[in-house]
Amino acid sequence: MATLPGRRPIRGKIRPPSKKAATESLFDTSWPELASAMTTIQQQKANTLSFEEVYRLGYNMVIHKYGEKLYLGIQDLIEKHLKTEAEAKIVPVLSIADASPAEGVELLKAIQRVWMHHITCMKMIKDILVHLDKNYVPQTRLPTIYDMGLYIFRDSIIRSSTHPIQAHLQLVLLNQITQERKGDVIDRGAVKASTDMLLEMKENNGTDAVYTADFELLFVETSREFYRLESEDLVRRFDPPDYMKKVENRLDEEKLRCNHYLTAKTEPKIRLIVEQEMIAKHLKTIMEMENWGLKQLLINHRLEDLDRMYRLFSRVPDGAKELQNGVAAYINDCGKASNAGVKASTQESQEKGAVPGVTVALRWVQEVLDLKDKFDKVLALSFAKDKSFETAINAAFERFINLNIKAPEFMSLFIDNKLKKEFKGKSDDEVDTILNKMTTLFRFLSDKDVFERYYKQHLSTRLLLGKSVSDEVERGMITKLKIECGYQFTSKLEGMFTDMRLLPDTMSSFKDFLDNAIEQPPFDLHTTVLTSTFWPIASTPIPCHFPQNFLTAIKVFERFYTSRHNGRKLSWHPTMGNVDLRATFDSKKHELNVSTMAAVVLLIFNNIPAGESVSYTAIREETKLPDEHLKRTLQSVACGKFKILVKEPKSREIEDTDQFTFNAGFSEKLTRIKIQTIASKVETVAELKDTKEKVDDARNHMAEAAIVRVMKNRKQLDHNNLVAEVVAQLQVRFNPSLTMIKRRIEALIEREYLERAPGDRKLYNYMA
Amino acid sequence: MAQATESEYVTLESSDGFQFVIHREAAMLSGTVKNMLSSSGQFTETTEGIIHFRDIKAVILEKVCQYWYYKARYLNSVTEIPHFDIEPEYALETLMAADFLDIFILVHEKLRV
Repeated sequence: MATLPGRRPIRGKIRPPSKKAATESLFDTSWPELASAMTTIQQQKANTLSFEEVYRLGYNMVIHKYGEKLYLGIQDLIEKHLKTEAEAKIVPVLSIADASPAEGVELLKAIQRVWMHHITCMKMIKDILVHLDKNYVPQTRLPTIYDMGLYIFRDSIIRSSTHPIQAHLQLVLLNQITQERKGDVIDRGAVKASTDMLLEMKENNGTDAVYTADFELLFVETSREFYRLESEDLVRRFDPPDYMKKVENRLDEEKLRCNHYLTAKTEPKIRLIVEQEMIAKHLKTIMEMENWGLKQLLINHRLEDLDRMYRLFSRVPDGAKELQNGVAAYINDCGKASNAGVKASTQESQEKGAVPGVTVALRWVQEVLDLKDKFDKVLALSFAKDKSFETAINAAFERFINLNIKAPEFMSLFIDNKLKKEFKGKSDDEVDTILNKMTTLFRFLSDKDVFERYYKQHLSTRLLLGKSVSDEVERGMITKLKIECGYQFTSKLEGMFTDMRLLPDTMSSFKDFLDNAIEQPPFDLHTTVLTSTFWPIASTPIPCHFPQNFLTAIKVFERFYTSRHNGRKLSWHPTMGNVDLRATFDSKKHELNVSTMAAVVLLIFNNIPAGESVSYTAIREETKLPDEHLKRTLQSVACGKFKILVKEPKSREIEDTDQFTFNAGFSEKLTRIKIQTIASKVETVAELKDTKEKVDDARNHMAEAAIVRVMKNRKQLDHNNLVAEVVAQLQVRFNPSLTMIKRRIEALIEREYLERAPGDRKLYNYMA
Repeated sequence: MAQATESEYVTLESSDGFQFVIHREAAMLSGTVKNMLSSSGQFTETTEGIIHFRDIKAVILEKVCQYWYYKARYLNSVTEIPHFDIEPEYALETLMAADFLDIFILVHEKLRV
């Protein structure tokens, strides 16, 4: 430090010890002055004071180590002041609050006035004694002057040990809130000021507001009691929709209350109370109420009320679950009703001896679709597309759909019906919506392979008889199925389409062939060549003795076909084709379009002298057709709308002893007549059994294939894992039973595809 | 009541009777002055706009005022900041005044005694 020597004495002058002597009496002289200044401030006469003067007093006391004395002095001063304030301004009001709850606001206001004044004073005192806060307080870990002021207020006014101020304050606040809940208008400002005050004051740790201990706990408890009583009363008096509206209002009110004059921190607590008391405790009651419970809401499609129910129930634990169960139960009931309807009409028609009509199937599917539509709407508009609700609803549908063992057949019939008739003239969009809905239902089916079988059957009829409304729609449906179940599922269906596509080609080459051929078929021959594995046809055709000119035509075609495709074998199925016959009756000539089998039968009568009858057995002898087919064919030409043959005796059923005569007197306005064989309908019991056998067969096949696929991959695997993997593979198509898989494994061991590992019987080895 | 708060200036009076009229903003750099002028209590300082420092001599108060302006001038400045010189014989008293006035004069790096 570069200083001039001459300046040193000046520094010596300002040595601290010179002041020490003066400090002995500093506190005694300064304190009364400072104390009276504080009192002046508390009397709201601060404008007569000089800040500098008071500040200097405090400052000097602190730098002369009188911090502790000063702090305690101030504390004592404030405490005394507040006690007199309480006695003068608050205690007299207490009796008013006692006298009438409505006047309670006066108490709030009185406390408020003292509080506001105290706050102002404390701010000034804090400013003046800033040095105390900065230099003394940090060493001692005492609260700052301002905080100390708030603590004193808390302890000597709110929690005063001499006056019951706290109890009164709480009572008044709770009364005010209860009054507002009952619909009265209250002085929100006064309540808000009080809660703000309680929030401002902290517990000794400096973070928790006095509000929590002195008010919130009590508030929550009394609210619980209030809502317990109210909900019991309301549930008794109102329908669920009205009750739910009231609950919703209450929830809104409490939320607003917290925003307006309590604190946001109370909101979740009070919300929980309302939810517990008004919703959780009455879940079952609300749902199962006779009048306008869940069931009635669903039946009457009260979307808004359902939405409210969803929103309220979702608030409480298990509420959503309960509601889902309720909804699922309702769906189950509806589904059971539909299923029962099917059963009833099936039984009815069986009693009459008739086959249950297609209408039953259509009605069932339509009912299911309508139900699904309804719940799609409910889900979207009332349940906010909640995923868990979607799952619950879908599970319910799945359950009851699969309870109807005829579900796969019905669905296929429904689509068949649509594709044959109802899609005519419909727009692409309409068609697409219906198909999409069907795809959704299809997704619910567990026996998808059974559906495939029926679909194939129905599709083949549509294709062969050219009954489908549009090829494009057919393909669209196949594509949808493909998306659902994969390529494997639809490959055969697509193969059917390929066969149909190749048809015109084959026929035009056949024509070219005929142009150069020596031998011509005796009539116009139109052949549909099908790949036998794609189509639902027996591998061996039913026996049928064709007339001579049929055989000639067949020979010509076979020659043509083998010349183009070497090594392919053609088998002729009379069940699927149709023939145009020109028949001469007494009155006029008719052109008859009949099935191939019917043609074979009718052609017999060409060789019979007019008027003579032929017995059933003779026809059977001639055609070699099996009884079941022959009877159906004869029924269509002799018992149907157009009676080409006359049966003796007359009845609906064909007996072995019947006699048939050509009905020469047949007359009809139209020249061209189409005689249909009995169309596709719901299967008879025998057919159902047959289908079931076929399905089981196919399933066994699939299961074995899956087992081999897995084992080929793994080489060695234990039983449980093998079963698990196989089930996973098969589940897309149907629900395999464990015994079935076990049996398949045994069968494969027998055929030496697998072996049990030596030593460990639970382990299988793959044998290459 | 004459509201001094509206004035741009404030008068500071030393113990030996000298008056310094300086910008209110500059004087507010002192925490103590700031409290005096902005406290809710309407003390005499607030109403009259004069602050009487009974413990600070004019020489020191002048130095303090200089420092306020120096600080206000170079606060947030990007240019080179010159040194602020304090004569050694006033150093201790200036520091005591700074403590009283609640100014962080000590930590200023450009301070040169």
